[in-house]
Amino acid sequence: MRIRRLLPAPEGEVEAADLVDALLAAPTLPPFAPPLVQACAGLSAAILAHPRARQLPALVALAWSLRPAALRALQARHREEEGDTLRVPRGLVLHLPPGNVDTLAFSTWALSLLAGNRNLVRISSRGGEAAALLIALWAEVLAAGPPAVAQGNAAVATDHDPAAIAALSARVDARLAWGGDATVRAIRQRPLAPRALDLAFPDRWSWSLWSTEAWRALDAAGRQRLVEAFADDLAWFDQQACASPRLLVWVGEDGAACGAALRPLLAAALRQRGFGPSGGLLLDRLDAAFAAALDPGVVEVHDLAGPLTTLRLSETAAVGRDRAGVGLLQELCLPTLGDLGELVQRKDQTVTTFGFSAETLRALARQLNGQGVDRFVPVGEALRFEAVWDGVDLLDLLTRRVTVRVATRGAP
Amino acid sequence: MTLEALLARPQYRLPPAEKEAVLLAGLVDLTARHRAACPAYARALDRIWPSPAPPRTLADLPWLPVGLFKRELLQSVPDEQVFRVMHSSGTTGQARSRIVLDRPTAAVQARALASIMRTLLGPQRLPMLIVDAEDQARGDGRFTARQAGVVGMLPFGRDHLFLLDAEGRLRRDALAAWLARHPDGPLLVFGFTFMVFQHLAQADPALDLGRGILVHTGGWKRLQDRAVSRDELRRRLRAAAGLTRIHDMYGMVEQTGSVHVEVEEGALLAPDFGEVIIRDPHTLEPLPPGQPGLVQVLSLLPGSYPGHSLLTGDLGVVRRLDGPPGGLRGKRLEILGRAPRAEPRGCSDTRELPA
Repeated sequence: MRIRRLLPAPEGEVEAADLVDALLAAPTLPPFAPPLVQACAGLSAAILAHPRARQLPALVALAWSLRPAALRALQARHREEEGDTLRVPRGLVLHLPPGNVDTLAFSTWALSLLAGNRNLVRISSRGGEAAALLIALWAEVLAAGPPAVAQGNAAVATDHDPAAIAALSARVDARLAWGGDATVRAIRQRPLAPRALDLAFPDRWSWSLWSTEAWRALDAAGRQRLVEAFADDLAWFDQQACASPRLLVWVGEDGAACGAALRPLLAAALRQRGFGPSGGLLLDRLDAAFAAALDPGVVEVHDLAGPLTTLRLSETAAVGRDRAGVGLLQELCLPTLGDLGELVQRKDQTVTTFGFSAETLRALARQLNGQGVDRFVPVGEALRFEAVWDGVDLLDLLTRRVTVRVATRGAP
Repeated sequence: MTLEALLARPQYRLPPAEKEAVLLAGLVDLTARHRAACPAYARALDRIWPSPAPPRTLADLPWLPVGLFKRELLQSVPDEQVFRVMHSSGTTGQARSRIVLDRPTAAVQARALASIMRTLLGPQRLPMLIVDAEDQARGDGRFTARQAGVVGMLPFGRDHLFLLDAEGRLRRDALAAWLARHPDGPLLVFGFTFMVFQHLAQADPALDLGRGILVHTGGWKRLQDRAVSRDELRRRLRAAAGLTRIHDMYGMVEQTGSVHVEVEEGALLAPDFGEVIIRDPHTLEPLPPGQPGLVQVLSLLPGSYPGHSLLTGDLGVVRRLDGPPGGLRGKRLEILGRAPRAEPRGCSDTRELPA
């Protein structure tokens, strides 16, 4: 079956089987081999050197995560040799990233590449400007580097074509798939080879946890910095990424007053970022806001028009994980952390926090013990993609460990 | 002036200042009645507008987004008084609006449409041609919006002829016989906009409906998809069917009977018992004429459900606030299309993979 190849150049239609053959035949390199590290560092430099790319915050964040120092840190964390094992790539990895979070595809591509894998990445044709820029820059970086690296990496545009996914899945060693539950189910129906790793990143939900005491202790400048960081978390990807916060939980006394103080500051910061629904997206949010207004668990609805509509909730049971809308934030006030109770669910991915110590949060994570939440990170870092994502150490998962041991002197 | 009085007179006569006063009084009253009778409506108003000032203009009145009727069954009458529940025509998989009617509201909707049609067509019932197939109009009490649209118009004509057969083909012989039965005088032609485009505007050989007054409704999206403009449709209707008197009609199941008719070319007028407000697509503030925005529709008709003030999903613009005294009065509205619900970005695809 024919598919449209974007990388390697030239763009054009190819037979899926031929494309996979070419990737399987490409030379392999060990994890963190210098050409692989140079390719990633090269992409980082290319982004920062490009006048338009370096204006896009998501691309700058990607560039930051692939800068030489970051790559060295990654390498240090994933030592190639550890005890009597050494790491080897899994082989050929198929990436099916989400349709419209432009940069996610490239973050995981880079990690997988560093792990020594060859990669086949589906880029959605619905990707925006950032994705188009990244493809172009990545193509240049790969073309400028050793052929061994370029031959092992391909990008295709197939969108949601079950036959294409089936054709591409058949001979890969790992498949990474993002999407809603229905998408993931459908992808899982396309078989992989028995030895292959099938990893899915389905629907996730994220929120933010703030201490009222810490808020009250902030001076105006401190508040503004915090507000700017939170505005970044909200504004990127139109608040629609799985790591984007949809709920703000105040812990402590007078949460309502803190929320009231936050609202105008946050609205101003969001306006500055050009964030906020209009037209049809505003209508969608209005539908959600009015429906929420009918819910007994929603006690207040603030700012019907404007960048952010806030729904103040009466209790944790009133949190609606299916409430959708660009620029919609739920708000909840709890007396203590202990009152989180059943709020945390398996679907929860990222909780950004403000005003809690690492010890407190570790204790909370320990107490939750898998009930939910894969990341507790500072406000402002919600969308910073990391090697450990969705509770999974991707670099670890995308490599195999080979055990090598020989008989010691004196053994039979 | 009461609603009954407004329905008894020809439409498009109320000067704007008087209309604003009459509607404001009527809609304030309706808001209070629905508040008292529909707990969900009262709750929505309390949460969205917790301390409202008394409304001084129509733009100060509360409103509901029309999409709420897809999610919630909102009714202001007890179950035993429910006469019919209307549904919007939704695409498969999409929720449909449910509109609860009691007998009085259903009756006033019919009287309202009659008042508009009388104003447009004159008092006589005209021979009526329907650009559809007959089975579309056979209802068993459970109407789709399309069936209701046709059935709702039937009282304004006589000797009805359905132009299409069950396979959707033009019944030329029947048409010829019908035209021979009515050799003089105006004829009423009614159909949904896309049907009119398909079967009248592209008729080959051409039809002779020169005495026809065409009323069509149903939105322009499918024509826009084919890059057929308003002017283009008119050109083709003239060429292929001889039609020169053409009236577009804009309405919705959520405010049945309160339709906006293209009374003068290119401009829709609200009836005297309804009004339209254009709101800024970012801030929701009311906009002056000439600035496009989201269309809000107001109507004195909805008595059994809180649909008297609704923010629609359409974009429109008011070209002029009024016409010359002695002529047709009221805002000249142009509908620009649906507000696009651009797909927001996100990790989990909104468009799911087919199984």
